[in-house]
Amino acid sequence: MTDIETELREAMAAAVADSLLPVDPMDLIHRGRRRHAARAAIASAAAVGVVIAAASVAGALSTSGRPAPRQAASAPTTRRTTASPPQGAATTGPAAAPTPPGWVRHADGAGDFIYTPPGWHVGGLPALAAPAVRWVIGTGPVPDGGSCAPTAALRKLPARGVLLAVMEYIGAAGQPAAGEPYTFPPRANRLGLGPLGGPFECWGVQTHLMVFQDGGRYFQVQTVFVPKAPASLRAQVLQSLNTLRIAPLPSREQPAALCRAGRWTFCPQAVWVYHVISAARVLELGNLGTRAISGLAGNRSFGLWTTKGRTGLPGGRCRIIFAAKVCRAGNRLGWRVHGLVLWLEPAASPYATRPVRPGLPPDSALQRLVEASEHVDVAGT
Amino acid sequence: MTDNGSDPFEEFVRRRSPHLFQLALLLTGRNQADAQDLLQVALERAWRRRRAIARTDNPEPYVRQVLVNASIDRWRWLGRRDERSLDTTRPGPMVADPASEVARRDLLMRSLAALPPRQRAVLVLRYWESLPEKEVAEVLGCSVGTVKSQASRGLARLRELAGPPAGAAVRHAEVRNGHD
Repeated sequence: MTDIETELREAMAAAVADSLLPVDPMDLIHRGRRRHAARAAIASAAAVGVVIAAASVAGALSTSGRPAPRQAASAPTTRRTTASPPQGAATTGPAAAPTPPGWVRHADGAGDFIYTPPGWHVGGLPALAAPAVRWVIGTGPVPDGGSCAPTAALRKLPARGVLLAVMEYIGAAGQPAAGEPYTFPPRANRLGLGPLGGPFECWGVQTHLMVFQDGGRYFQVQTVFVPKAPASLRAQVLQSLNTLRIAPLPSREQPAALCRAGRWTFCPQAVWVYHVISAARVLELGNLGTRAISGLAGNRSFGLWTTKGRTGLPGGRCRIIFAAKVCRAGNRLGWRVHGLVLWLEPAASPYATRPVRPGLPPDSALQRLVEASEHVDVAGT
Repeated sequence: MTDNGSDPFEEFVRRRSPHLFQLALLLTGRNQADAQDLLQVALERAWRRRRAIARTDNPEPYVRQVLVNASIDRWRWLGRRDERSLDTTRPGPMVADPASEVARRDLLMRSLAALPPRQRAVLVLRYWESLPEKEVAEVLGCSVGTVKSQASRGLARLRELAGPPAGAAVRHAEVRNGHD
């Protein structure tokens, strides 16, 4: 047993020695079962929705010979505010805790909705086409106005108040997704506020920023608290955010279908490569269409993508970096990791200008990439 | 039901939950809320399979496996890991201080929390649960070789993040001074 092993053993024992489970464990199980039942109910309601939608499409086909076009995500939608109970059908997201009585439901007419505490204000859409602002929500008045952020509402932010904007990244007309889908992690069971960053160019202030993908759609939430905002307000914002329900895209437009159709940047492996790049402190410079992600290290830009692990690695010119066998074929490098082969190839980035030129990363960056690729777990591949 | 009328699964849950909660705490970097969520997931899954589990002598390996895998799934997306504070990933220079044992342990625990989830799970199972490498491999569904390499890398990373033990630093300084 080495010093660090003994120390670690002692530190772990000391760290949890006095920790007590704060609830009755059987209670935990029953709570989990209730959540599971609610999720199942939503899933079956969604299935009913799919059947109804399929019936509508069939109807449209029989009358016009082709399906009616889906309403574009960016098209103006009718906003409705009601105090009706939640309707889980045909929306995504985990089962929510019961919405507190009196909370107000805000629907956008496209099947998405969110609840807010009574007395909060919704509106204040800035003149922003993409990303499309779905809701601007505040504890104070939220007048319309602002070029790329709800700056008019921001100016009216009351002391101890909060303002948040829910935005959706949409593609060009008819395109379902953001240009860099791999930068949006799948929606977590519980939405958080995200880290505080900025000041952001559009907002001019620091905001919490959180992005996620839900039902094949790509969202960003930015939240601004006045410094004196009470902790209870933060809890209310989180509770409100977690009532957000999104109408999913048809399955053929979901990332999984696009991935199967060969658009690699929609695959879970692309999300993994993006995390590897971040962990390796390599700059992400957009992508090469849907084929690869573009990276920058030193003044060299290159594409990164993966293939299945059974793809053959080029033999011959290989070397070992952090236990990985990194092989070269022409100007391309590849190594096996987590059942995949990660490839690098010199490529011009759409965002790069001189002195950046296509090239393989310098050795130090390559080592960081190999190391990060081993440490970052792959999900869903 | 047992002879005395109690449900053996419930008995197991009540008896072992404190220990499993501590395991969840270590796997989540001592985050109480996350640990509670993890334990809930593991116990709920075990509850759904309680009849099958009752046929085995000990349900704990199953619950432990769910707990560990759920903890790895939970941290899979690096976005979560971005929330680590900077002082976790870049601990300051080690200062020899005889009274720093608590701080040293805290630094080690923060460094442990900064490890990739699978590596952390290997170290927790190996050094807190005291499982042999073969059992750790079974829990994680990987080879013994992978467990060995992950443990070795994890320990190396901890050494790097936490620096040498305070005593070692003092001893090193004394030796060096002795030679001066």
